[in-house]
Formats: sequence, structure tokens, C-alpha cells
Amino acid sequence: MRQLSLLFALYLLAVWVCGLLPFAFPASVLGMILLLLLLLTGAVKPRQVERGADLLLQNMMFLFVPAGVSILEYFPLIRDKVPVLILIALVTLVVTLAAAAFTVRITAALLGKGRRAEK
Amino acid sequence: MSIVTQSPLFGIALTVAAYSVGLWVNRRTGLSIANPNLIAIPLIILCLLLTGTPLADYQRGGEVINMLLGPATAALALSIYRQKEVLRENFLPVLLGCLAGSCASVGSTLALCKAFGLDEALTASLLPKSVTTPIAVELSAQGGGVAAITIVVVIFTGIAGAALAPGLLRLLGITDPMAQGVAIGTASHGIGTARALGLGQRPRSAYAKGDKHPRIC
Repeated sequence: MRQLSLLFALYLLAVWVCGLLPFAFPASVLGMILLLLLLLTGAVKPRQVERGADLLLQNMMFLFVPAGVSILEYFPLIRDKVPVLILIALVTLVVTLAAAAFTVRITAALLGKGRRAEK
Repeated sequence: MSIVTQSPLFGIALTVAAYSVGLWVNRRTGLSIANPNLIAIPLIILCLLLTGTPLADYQRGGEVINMLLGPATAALALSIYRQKEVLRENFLPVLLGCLAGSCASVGSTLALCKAFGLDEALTASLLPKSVTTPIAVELSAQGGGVAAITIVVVIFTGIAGAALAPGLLRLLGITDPMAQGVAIGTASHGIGTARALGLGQRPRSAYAKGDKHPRIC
């Protein structure tokens, strides 16, 4: 419970800071950045948050159910476009996979060469 | 009945029940297509339609669950922190791979949405689809998109990635586990990664590198 309340407080702090920012920024992402900084600097130890964080992380997909149910409201708008949406999702999946995989491979290969040259 | 359905506990109870059914079916069948969300969401919609319960009643409880997404997203920092050693060693390939993959995802989605003449709201809902769901939803909302459409597309992308990515990567001749991990992670985030490997909820192999890091890309 204490770990969860720490995470909630951190998130509410992020909400407050985001409200002060002159531009729109997602509070959840700011909260994530803050927590990462706290962990990296050692101000917060992993064991101080991991039980609470894992509880949320392991049940993350459950938390999306209500937002997904709202599709009910929008379904009439997208009914005709379902085949197009599926096609777009599949094509972009292939493009994304290829782009990421080849970039990692090329970068790793270039770095590998660089290291070997140094020796 | 409305006195029952208007209690916030109604939405919470229905969500928990439907998700339990989803988890049960998922475990019994072991199929990636039997995603708990893909079962729970239609099940709830069906219940609401059959009983004539307004969506607004359900969402009194639904919103409570939805609110927990903020702190849950912040908690992702712990998953990134746990991968810090791997990230430090392979920082540049992982970063550039995620970046290239994310750009390719956004670029190809934008081009196809234009080609098919989809409107702006729908395009905004699709653009962030290969990012992890909580961040995708935030990005979608800020671009004028519809969270519900984004969620359904993100889940679909995850499942399609789980089913297709390993085969596609083999076709492309990608055998390096790090390249595979980053590619699967960037293209279809956690659902894809966990399912594709059949390692359960917490993949700890080399693939996990790809799984965790792209969550912020």
C-alpha cells in the first residue's frame, strides 16, 4: 500500500507540473521520466517501489478494458473502414519491423568494426 | 435495475468478471489471438447491449479503472531501469533501431491514411499505434484522436506482431536476437514480445531488451 501511494503521489506531482507547463505534455510520461531519474540517481531504491509497480505493470492490460469498451460509441463511425484499418495495421507492421531490425543490425555492425579497428 | 448499473461498482465488477473470463480462455487455449482484452471488451459490449445498459452507466466504474493508467505508466520506469545494463552496452543500436522503427511506423501509417483518404481524427488515432498502449493513448488524444480506436488498433498490432513477426524476420534474414528484439518491441510492443516467445508475462531473454526500451520511443 505504501508503495502504491508513493506511485500515486509521484503521478499527481507530474499532473501538477504538467499543468504549469506552457505546452501539452502527458503527465503519465512525465511521471515515468521522474521515476526513472529517481531510480537512476539512487534517490529511490527499486525495492521501495517494485511491489507496487509490478502490481500495476502486471495488470496493465486489465486497466485498458474500459477505454476499449468505449469503441461502442465510435463503431458506427469506423464500420466501413475496418478492412482498410486492418490492411494499414499489417502493412505498417512489416515496414516497422524491417526498419528497426535492419537499423540495429547495421549500427551494431558499424560499431563492431569500429571496435575491432581500435584494437 | 438502473439503481444497480449506476453504482460505480457495477462497471468495476463487470470489467473484473469479463477480464477473468478472458484470462481463463487465454490460459486454456494458449492462443495469442485469444487475448484477454480481445475477449473482455466484446463481452462487456455484448452485456451492455443485451441488457440495454447505457455506456455512461458502465463508465462510472470504468473511469475509476481508467484513472489507474496514469500511475501504471509511470511505473514503466521500473521496467526500463531493470534493463539498464543491457541498454548501456547496446545504447546506440537500440536507440537508433527504435528511432528508425518508430519513424517508419509513423511515416508509413501517415502515407497509407492519406492514400485511403481517412479523416484527421482517425489518422491521429492510428499514428501512435506501435507505441505501448498508455503512451499511445495520450499521444492519440493530444493529436485529436479517439482513445478507443487507438486501443483496439494497438491490441490488434500486438497480436498480429506476435503471430507474424518471428516468421517475417526469418524471411528478412534477421537472426541476431537483439535486432529481433528491438524490431518486435518497436513494431508491436509488449503483447507481441511476450506472446511471440511463449515465455509468459516477463520475457527475460535477449528479446526483453527490445521489449522494454521501445516503450518510450
